[in-house]
Amino acid sequence: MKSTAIILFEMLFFVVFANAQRIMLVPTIEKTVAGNQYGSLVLFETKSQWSFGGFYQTSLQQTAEGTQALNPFYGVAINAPLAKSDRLNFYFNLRGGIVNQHFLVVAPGLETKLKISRILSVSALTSVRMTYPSASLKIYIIF
Amino acid sequence: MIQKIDFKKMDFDNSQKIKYHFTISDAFLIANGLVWLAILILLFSCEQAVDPVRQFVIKTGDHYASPTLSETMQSQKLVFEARFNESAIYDFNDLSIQSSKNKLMGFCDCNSLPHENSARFAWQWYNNQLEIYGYCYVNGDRQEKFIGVIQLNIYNHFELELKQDEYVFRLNSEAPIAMKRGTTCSTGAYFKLWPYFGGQIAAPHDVIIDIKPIY
Repeated sequence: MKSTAIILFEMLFFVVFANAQRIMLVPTIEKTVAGNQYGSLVLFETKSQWSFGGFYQTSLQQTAEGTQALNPFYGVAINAPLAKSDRLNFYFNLRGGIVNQHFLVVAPGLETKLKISRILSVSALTSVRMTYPSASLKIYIIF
Repeated sequence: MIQKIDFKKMDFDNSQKIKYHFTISDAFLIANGLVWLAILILLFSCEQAVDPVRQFVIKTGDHYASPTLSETMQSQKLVFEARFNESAIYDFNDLSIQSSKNKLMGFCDCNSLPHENSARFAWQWYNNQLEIYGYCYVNGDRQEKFIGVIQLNIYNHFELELKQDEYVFRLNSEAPIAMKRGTTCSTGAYFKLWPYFGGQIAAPHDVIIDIKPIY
């Protein structure tokens, strides 16, 4: 089962990578009902502006030993364009992954991306986390 | 005969149309951007964006509470505060029915159904007091353990921790209670379970429970 999942993921990864027009590194901050989470995504964007990739984000907890990751959330993300223009695009966003290495989580959302320059965009994402709305701010660095 | 066409005039007319259309579109996009910025400012403000207190009502003759929610666990600990009022008092005039456990809150274990592997806090009005129990299904077998007694009309603190081999129940300052965990997968969906009246007998009157999840 695990090996099948890995093979399917690799097939998807290479197909997307081969068709990718742009590769984007996306630092992100998300405010959820449980607190802020910080992380980043790596996305591959196709010619039709669909993008696929992986993400990792976590809350940070101050302890006596220093800063520790709390409730890390990692998985795959998909952006499907709903409306496109030169500067502002709307996407349906879907993230699926694992929280704390045990809990399967799916988080749908809507994203607006504003193009600042050829290599820089910012976006706002509202999604549903733990049945409450969450808000994310993302900075797209385009390679 | 060849007709003479004024290309310059045609070009000028088309460019005017395109320019006008683009300006309206641009204004629409900027307005949308401002709306999104306003949403972001609201959500990133220091105040909590939502009040997590939920009031569950089990109507007369029902088992399930309203609202109906679907939520999965995203942490090893389910922590919440719950408040009962006088609607938690009932009398069935039959001790066997009176001791039937009503469910407060808990979760299904990894990809399991409630009657396969799950852990919940349960409650009953018994001996003129509100008793709280740990209530689990372990590989299909039901297990119950008394945890403590709580007061009406005040919030009480509940914690249910998922460990490798056991569930740990904590209620206010009572001693923690551990109950064995069944054999399930490790990674999967852990659906939360919400208030439910019964057992077999439905709610004799409306029962109101306030639950404040702590994330």
